[in-house]
Amino acid sequence: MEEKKDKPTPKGASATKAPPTLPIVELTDDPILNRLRARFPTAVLEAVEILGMPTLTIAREQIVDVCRFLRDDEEALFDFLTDLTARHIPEAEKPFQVIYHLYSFPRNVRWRLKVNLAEGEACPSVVSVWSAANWMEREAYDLVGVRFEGHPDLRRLLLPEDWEGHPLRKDYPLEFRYNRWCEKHLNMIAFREGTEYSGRFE
Amino acid sequence: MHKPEIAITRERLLAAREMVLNMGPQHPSTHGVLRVILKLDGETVIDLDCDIGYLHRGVEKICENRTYVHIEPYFDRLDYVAAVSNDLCYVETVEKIAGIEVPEKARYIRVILTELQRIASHLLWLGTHAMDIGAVTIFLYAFREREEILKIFENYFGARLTANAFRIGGLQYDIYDGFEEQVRAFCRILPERLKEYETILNENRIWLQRTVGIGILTAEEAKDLGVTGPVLRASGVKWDIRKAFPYEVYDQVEFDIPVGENGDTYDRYLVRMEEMRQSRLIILQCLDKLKKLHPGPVLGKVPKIIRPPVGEVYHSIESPKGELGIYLVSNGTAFPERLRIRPPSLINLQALKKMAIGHLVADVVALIGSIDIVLGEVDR
Repeated sequence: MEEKKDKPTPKGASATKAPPTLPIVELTDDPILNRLRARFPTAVLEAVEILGMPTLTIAREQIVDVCRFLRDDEEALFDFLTDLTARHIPEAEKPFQVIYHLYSFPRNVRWRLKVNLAEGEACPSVVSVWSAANWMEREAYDLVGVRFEGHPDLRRLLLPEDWEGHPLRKDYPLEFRYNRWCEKHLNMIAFREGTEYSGRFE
Repeated sequence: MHKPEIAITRERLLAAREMVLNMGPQHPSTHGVLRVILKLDGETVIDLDCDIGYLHRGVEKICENRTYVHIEPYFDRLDYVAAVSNDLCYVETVEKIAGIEVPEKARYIRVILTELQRIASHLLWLGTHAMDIGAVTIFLYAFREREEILKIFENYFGARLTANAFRIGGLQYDIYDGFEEQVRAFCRILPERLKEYETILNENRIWLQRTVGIGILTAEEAKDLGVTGPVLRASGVKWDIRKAFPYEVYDQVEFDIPVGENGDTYDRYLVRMEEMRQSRLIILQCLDKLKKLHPGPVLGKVPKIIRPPVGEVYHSIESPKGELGIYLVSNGTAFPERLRIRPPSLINLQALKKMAIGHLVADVVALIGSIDIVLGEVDR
């Protein structure tokens, strides 16, 4: 465990080498994808397959229509929303990403959909398509700070309602800083001057 | 004489029909720190809201700042009554993305331990659920059998609750001398003990009145709400990840998926009882196959520092509560970029509102028990 992350090794050349990547296969000849493209010509921005999982990037405006189509279409039949989560990618042009994992009971197939969002952009809510999205969207809003348009009850799910910030953002501090909620409810104040505390394992 | 502005008269009190009742977070029947806000009309629930997050400790954020080896102990503490299943999900996800091979013998031992954990989790559920409804005897019986499993865990893992010996690439320990006999002895007594519980419960009038027809969830509603596990199967959907996407050696053993008909609390009880029997069959088959593999390695070839290739993976297993999934995004370093845990308890708990509306307050207690939630996993 002595080796530290991102620290250049003396050899130099091997340290600058880019890490290996999982094979990303272009998804072209999928019947469902063809149906989807025929119905919504501009919706699918990218279609690839990663480790056997079809992964589609969908335009933000059309995600609800695409989800409803995938649920109701007699060949797609994605009747189950397995998971919905969000990611913060600070270095990307659109720094937020909402990730959907769909499952089809009749066909036993999983698909992954992605929606990229610019800073401050809201994602259309899919609660009207699958009720399961209700708490998952609330959690994504709570922890990553992605707003969902048209959600019936968008409140924080896990953290207190008056908490400040969204912990799963990459710029959220790991070490304890001044926090109004903690001061008010837990009678905690900031660490003394000079205290070093980092949550990162080095 | 002091007179309140709005006199609370007897007539006014009696005329008020709606009442808000706060249940929990410190309430024994909520199985942890779940707070349920109930809106009542008399004793009938007309609306309900769950307040969760009392145990939130930011496991997903912690995972982003730990190496792949260091993350594993955090998974024991998610669903703390089924630590082995959680570990299995995590190590399999990392093995899947990093392409690490696991020796076959380790796979069989993993399945035996995971199925033992499923029985232990269901026994704990049975005891506490029955006690919530008023059958105290069954609690003592169920814990008696759970103790036998915990003794096996204590011998193998060195821990009873946060059992942790699964490693990325295999197992830390080989089985100890006498492991097979101990597991077989447990499998021998289990069927008659299960029959014992059923004698107490199956035709018990109080048990039937408290469970039959309570919290009915149809198959369509269950799918729409994202419910998985025994709750989904009780609604008549024959779906189990062990069959749909077989992991480990589940494609090499024979077992059946029990399914309910009505989707009520009683069916959920029947499904879980039958699942214990099926788990026992899986264990016995695995023990037979393990014998042939016995002198053999349990840990595959694993790099000292695990750096999975850049990419993403979703992997899920059938934990005792339902579909436990992990969505892992790797950036090629020793730390994950994003690790999302799909906890079955959280998503099943969403269905509580649908189930409880129209029933009595006392039925909410039975329903929380029948979903089988663990708050360590709900809040993460």
